[in-house]
Amino acid sequence: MPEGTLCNKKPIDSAEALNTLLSDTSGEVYYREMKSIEVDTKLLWKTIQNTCKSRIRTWLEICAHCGMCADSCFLYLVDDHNPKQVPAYKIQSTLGEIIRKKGNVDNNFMIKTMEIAWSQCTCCNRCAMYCPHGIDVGIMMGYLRGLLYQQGFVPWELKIGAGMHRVYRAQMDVTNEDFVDTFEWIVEEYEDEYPGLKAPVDIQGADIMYTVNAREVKHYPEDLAEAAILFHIAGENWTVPSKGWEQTSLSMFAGDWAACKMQVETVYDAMERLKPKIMVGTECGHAHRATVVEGPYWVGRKDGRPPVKSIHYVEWLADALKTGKLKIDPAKRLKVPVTLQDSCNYVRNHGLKSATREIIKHIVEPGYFIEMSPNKEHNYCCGGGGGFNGVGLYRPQRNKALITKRDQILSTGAKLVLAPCHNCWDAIRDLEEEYTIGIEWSFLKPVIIKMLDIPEHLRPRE
Amino acid sequence: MFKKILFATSATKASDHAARVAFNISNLYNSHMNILHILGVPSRGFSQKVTDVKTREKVEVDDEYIAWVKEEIKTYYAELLPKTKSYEIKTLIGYPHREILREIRKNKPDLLVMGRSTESEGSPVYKFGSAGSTLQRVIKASDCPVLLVNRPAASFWGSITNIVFATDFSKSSDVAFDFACKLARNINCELHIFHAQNISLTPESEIFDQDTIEQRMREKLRFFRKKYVSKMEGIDNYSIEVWEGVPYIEIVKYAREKFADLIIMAQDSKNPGSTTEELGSNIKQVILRAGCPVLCMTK
Amino acid sequence: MYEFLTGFMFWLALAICLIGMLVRIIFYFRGLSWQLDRVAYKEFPMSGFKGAVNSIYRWLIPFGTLGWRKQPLMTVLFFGFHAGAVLVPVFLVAHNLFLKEKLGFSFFALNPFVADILTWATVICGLLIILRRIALPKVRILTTWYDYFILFISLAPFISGLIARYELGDYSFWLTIHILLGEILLIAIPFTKLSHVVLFFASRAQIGMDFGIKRGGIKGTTLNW
Repeated sequence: MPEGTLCNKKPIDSAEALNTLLSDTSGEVYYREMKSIEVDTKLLWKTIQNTCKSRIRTWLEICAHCGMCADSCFLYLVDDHNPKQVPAYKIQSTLGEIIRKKGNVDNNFMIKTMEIAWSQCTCCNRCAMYCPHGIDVGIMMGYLRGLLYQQGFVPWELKIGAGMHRVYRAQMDVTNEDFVDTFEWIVEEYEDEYPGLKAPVDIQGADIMYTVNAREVKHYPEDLAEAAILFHIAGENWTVPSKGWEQTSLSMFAGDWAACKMQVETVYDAMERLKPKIMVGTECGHAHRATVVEGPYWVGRKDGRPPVKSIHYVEWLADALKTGKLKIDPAKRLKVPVTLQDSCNYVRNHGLKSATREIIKHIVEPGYFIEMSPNKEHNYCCGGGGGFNGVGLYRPQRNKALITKRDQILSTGAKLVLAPCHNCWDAIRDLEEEYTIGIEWSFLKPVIIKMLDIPEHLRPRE
Repeated sequence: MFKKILFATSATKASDHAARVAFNISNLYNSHMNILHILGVPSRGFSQKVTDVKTREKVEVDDEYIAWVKEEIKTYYAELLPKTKSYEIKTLIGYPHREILREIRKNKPDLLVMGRSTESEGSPVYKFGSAGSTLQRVIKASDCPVLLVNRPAASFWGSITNIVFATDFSKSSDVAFDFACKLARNINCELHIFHAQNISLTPESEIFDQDTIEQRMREKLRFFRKKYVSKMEGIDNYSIEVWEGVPYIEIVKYAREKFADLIIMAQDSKNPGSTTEELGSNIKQVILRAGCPVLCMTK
Repeated sequence: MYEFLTGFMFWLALAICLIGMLVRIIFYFRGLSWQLDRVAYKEFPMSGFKGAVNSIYRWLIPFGTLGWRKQPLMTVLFFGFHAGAVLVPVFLVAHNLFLKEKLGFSFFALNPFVADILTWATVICGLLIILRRIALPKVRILTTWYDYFILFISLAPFISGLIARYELGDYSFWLTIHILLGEILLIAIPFTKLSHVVLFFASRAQIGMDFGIKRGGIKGTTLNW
């Protein structure tokens, strides 16, 4: 069978197709069909010739097979030092092999490769920091995922995720109307407590344009309210776009580069339309990576930057605390042992290690903050990055992967883990569910709201 | 008065008493009943997996599963269902408080009926940062009155003949008062207006002397009459009282004395109770202790 | 034979090596694509340059990066091997005399005793690296015959050089072998993994630019390698 009805090379482009695929519980039919779809070897080789240039080819060629990357990979460490988890091996036996065979690989090979690409690498890019040649296996895995996606070998949830972006321009079935409606509703809910709280939609020329993660809209709109409250109290002139509000990109995890471009274009269009001074994104790692770090290249912006200056929520927060826009009541600072999860996507891959620590300085009573080890740009992935969290097929592997973070947290002795990243937050939540170590975890927004010293004129009147 | 009731249920024991009351109301007032079951909490990032509230298992929700859950609910309430003329069972996925609030906003029911929290709420599945319980969060933000039934004693209920309205003079109490009056007029029952003056009797207390206490109570009572009686046209049977003590205890005692079928209170949004202790504030203590359903109003 | 090897063959090998490396490096940088690599190389030359220099410099210092510090044994073997492998061929007295004769110029010459130590270090570390390949599962799984071949042609000139140096057996025979093996090595450089002689710098520069420009560099954050 060259193509399956559900599992095929065609991206999801309509709500109907999306629903059909969704109704295939656990992707049962999808994965069954995958076993017999054909690899378009010509297309594969042509794509490689067009897109695999000197950087990746050199990496693959000069890799000294020294194995120094092994210990940098948390999946290698957590998998009992399984040599098959050595980053160099993972990429040499997949992408390296495809190139050596000039694309002449079969279905069986592609299925195995899919498993490696999505369950043995979270694209955390940590190995790049430990290779003497500076070989970044994470980047190559990302590239490999693109090839696999093109050939139809992609985990079910990610095919759906990329489809969501194509159909709704959001990672979930949240329409623009849903977003605006939910945003206004949730702000209404908090109006009494914060007089003057507004839901500014589509304001031209605001200082800040705020973008979010569709999951906040769908499942925990409190997060939207909290963002509104903090902007309100900080006295910011801000807005959200009614279109182009979704910052995340599951298509990046899926390797669907065309969908990545479509998604990020909506955000850039909103920037062009509303002309804000800056864009602030929510507490999400991959969303920042997609929209701020990688996005400009997907749409072909030569300077590698979005149309307006774009910052991560932690940067805004650090600045608001530093400049006194937001004031913390020192008596309400956190007095439990606290640790911080550095998100790979904006710490290792966008250098924001000091912003989060600036925030910590303000909100944690001195002496109560314990760094993880390793930390900052050397921190380990939460265990669920790069799409790992959401793929049912690789659940057991993902659960095992959480052990690294669990042990890292345990050795800090912290009771509260601040995780300003959706993926990390999820992974830490899951690890508590899986291993019950008695910790709390939180985004920054709710923690900060509780300890704010709110100016007199913004408090509710008696 | 109660044309549309929303009954939010876990379809477990925790909701049993509430169920009895909900179906009773539906029977008495010919209400259409929306039975809402939040069948699972989304888990695992963007995956399609959901943690089922009842079985605690990770399930993949599809049409078949939903149909099965609906059938389960029907079986669970087989005895009660004939009491209502029209009903609808709806299942949703999400964090319970949020989905209940969303449903209220969408369908604007006249009343929401809920039971107590389920045991599983403490599990990480439900934990969303460090927020409070489903109950607390629903009461805080609900646009419609919320009827809470916690104790079994509260669920043996005929029609409403005595309503206790407990006030703390807050703005939201005024809203609750309007509702109490409307209800009393509509179903022609007795209305008992009550305030419990909060005092703690230790020798160091600011107000300790009984004369002062009673003086204050007289003042409150006068204030009461001025504030409320003018708005009570059409309600013939009513009483007004002010007692002193620990408010929630006094409210429960008073309700018992008056054979109340319903306590109406306002959730004071300024004092929503501590977020770490699940049931902290007055209203929650009343819900826990009352021998009749408690109706909460916020907006 | 000796004449041929030190004459035509020497020039050929040297030319192939130097031109080959030059070509490799040119092709490497020409093959970089700002859009495919997703790094705005040209837009931020200064950040890129700083990142590249930092990335190369830190990795050239023994124990200069966390990666080196985490694996001290490998670091010792690596630098032990490479110090001799880089210094001895260029700065050995004998090689410089040869250069002077052939090209009319010479470099600074190593103290012969130091040169001996470096050469021994290279050979011993090279053998230990082979042992490491066999002993550690994480390296064994990566190792192919090609890796042994590369190690062999890299070590062979050193071993034969030592044999000649200590005049074990027939000196002129071993010298000829040594020169032959050295020239094979020179020729192999541009065409094999040994191209890392230059591509190491290219690849490190690239990842340095990547971090220096895109991944935090223009935010003013210097990556702590």
